[in-house]
Amino acid sequence: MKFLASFFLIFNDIFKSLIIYKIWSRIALKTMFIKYNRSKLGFLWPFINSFFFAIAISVVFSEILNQDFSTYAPYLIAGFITWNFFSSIIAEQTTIFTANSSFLKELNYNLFFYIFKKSYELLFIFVINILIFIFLSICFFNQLTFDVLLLVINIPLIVFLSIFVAYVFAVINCFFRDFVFVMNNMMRLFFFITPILWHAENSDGIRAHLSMYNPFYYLINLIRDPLLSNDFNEINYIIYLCLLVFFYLLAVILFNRVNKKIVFYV
Amino acid sequence: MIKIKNLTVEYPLDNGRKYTALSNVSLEIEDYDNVALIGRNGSGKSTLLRTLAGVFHPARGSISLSGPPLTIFDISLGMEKDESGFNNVIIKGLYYGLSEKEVLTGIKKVESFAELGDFFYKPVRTYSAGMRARLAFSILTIISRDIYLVDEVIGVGDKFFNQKAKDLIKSKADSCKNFVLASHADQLIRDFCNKGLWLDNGKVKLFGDINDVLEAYNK
Repeated sequence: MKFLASFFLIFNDIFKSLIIYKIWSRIALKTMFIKYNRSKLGFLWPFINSFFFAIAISVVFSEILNQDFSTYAPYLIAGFITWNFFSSIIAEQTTIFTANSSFLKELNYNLFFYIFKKSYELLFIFVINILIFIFLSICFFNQLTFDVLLLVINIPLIVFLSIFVAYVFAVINCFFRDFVFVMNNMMRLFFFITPILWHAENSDGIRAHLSMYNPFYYLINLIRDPLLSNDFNEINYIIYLCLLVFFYLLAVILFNRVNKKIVFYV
Repeated sequence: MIKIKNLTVEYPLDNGRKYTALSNVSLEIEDYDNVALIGRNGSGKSTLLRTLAGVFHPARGSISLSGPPLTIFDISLGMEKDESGFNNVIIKGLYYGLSEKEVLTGIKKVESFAELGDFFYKPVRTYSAGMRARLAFSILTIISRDIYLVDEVIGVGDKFFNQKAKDLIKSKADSCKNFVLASHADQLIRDFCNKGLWLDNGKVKLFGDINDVLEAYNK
């Protein structure tokens, strides 16, 4: 019984932080754009960051790869804003405890408070990016269908997984400060070996392998497929579930063993 | 009311060993007792405050507090230098668990206490160190709790503000249930506290009337 209960202790802390959503969501909204305070375009920057690169690359790469711009551009933009969301989760959540060390040592919020605050910021920007994409899609690309409603399920699924991933990575980074640098390099690599700039469909050889054994491919498809009205593919959900179980178990092990010691290491 | 029972707090060290910062501390602090933590650097004062605050977890033993405490360890915690004083008050208030509405209701009080004039609406990066401290301190005018845990922060700003800040803390100390202060300033300790807890190497050396404890400590 006690063994069984140990799998759910982590939810105690998760719920404790979840119910004070008013605190972290307000703070997130108040502080997320501070770094743009002194720039002229201000809070537009996170959105410009997403679309400027994606649109520019669409123009260049549709030529280089001999692709039709009107199908290649939405594919790349959808993939890129999703990738941006994933990579910012990993880059920012990995350092979330070390970056908030002075808060951890003074305020009596548990660790998930800071993860939720950051998740909320990143999700806020991501959802606006998705809405901008939908707007562009309706205006220019004309390939949106009701499939897009699947996002109402798929985005929360991704966020749920990201909570455990964030916790695991942030805890590891408290003990091994090299971890964040390793992850930054990995993410840069994965950007190119994940089908974002290139298509995986109907491919063989190395392209097929790079996508088949790449967890990001399936996670990106959870968001990209509904945006592009691609066929529903249950393999995405199966891989998702495997990743969820894997990271949940890792999070449980770390939570039960070191959660109370984190404050001494930040 | 604060109950501490057989409290032991251990810090993990890099070599895999542990450093015992507090060992087997037991005491009860009655309602309306204000306690000064006295002892040399590294004697465990801050560790005890942080454990009471709930941020350090005991290796053994237990603590219980009659209500959630307000912690004042690093007065400028969370100060955003590119935000105005006004917005900083709101952000800090949110961290302390106030709603935005509650902060806005009291913000005039904060503004007049801080005496920053127009600077209250300017980014904090334009403030001098003393002005920052004033702002950080003034937020306390709109927060009240039953228990305060304070670590060496009193003594900010110029002479006039210092007295004002002291009066503010004094009024909090007089009206709350428990006020726990770690400090090396004897006069401050006598002004604020009626009990003293002398910590030495993580152990309780003496707990009792403030004058007795200070006399023994200074001998």
